[in-house]
Amino acid sequence: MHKYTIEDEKKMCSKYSPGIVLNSEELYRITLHPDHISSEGEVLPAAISTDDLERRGFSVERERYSDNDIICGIADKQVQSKESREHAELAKLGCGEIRNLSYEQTGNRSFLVIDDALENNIAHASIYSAMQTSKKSILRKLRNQLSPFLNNRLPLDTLTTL
Amino acid sequence: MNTCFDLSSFEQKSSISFKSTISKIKDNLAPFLNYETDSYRKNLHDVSKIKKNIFYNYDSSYFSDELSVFLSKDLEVNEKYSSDIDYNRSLHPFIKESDFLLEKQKSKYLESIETSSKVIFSSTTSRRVSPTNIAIGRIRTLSLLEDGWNGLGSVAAKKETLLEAEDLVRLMFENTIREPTISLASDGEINFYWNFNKNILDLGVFGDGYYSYYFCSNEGKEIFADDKPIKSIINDEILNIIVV
Repeated sequence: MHKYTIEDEKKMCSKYSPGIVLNSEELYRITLHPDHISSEGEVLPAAISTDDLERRGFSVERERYSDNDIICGIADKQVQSKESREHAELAKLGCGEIRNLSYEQTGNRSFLVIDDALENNIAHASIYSAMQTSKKSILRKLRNQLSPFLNNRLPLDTLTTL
Repeated sequence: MNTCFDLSSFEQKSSISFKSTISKIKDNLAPFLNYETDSYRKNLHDVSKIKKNIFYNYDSSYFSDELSVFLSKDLEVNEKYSSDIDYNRSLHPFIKESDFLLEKQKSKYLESIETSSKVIFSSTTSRRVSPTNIAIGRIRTLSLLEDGWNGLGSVAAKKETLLEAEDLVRLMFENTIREPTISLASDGEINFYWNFNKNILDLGVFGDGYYSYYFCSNEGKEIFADDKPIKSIINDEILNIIVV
């Protein structure tokens, strides 16, 4: 399980951090076609692994600090790594919306958004389950809460014009 | 072994329509039966483009599955041929079992041609492959993904996970159920996802002998289940929900 709590959202969790993640920030996540997308065009819950929510963190890019070359580079590499992969898109999530999601059974927050910048990518942040649990069924519920927020998607080539 | 399929002896028959049918059959079967040639994979790919209603994994190396699924269209060969082939064996397309299957399929196919001149090749495109085989084919396609398929830290499905997913499919599809979307998560989970009438079921396996799921009905009723043995799916209440 991960080590973070709500208190960690209020401090920089990496020495490379440009600052804590604010509720007003927009976050990006690369989605791959067709791997992450259902036949109805919705992002599949499996696009968010339960292991990411529980332990590793679901990686996102902070728009404010993102480097278009890094995002496009990662996306291109992933698209080209598999012949049947068609293209990539950018899902855009509001940090505040994610932090506002709650787990009805307890009334507590569902997710944490943690600033864990990397040396070669200071825009990196991660989404974790706010609950310290390894129960897969609970983590499945959480990802079903989160996945609709990935449906606000932009073509990757618009990134250069943003 | 060269398994080239020679149908020339049947061309002696005078019926033009029969000859035409034979010709079409030859053209379409040849790429499958010359699977030891370099052109096998290319041909398979080409044919797949032409006949989109026929299901097989041209990306994979599961020759015996591809052949049996293809041939079973008109022969009414038990479609379980493909799903019953042991997974480990299917990793090696040139083992004796595959040869045996090939010969058996060829023989049945020839029999059908001999006994009926009403073989209409176009009918091969209209019959659907069973949902079980579609699902298993999807799982085997996912088995081709390697570590790193979804970026840094993402992992491929373990062999145990793939086998369990196939077992689950066979057990679930003993009933007529809604077809799930089957996908791989970056932690190696094989996931089965249903979203119908605003009912959501998210079920998956990790290769540890168990499955887990989360269900939420359109009325807000939720079911959480963890660590359920694969075979218990037969009696699981969730099965009643996804049965058509």
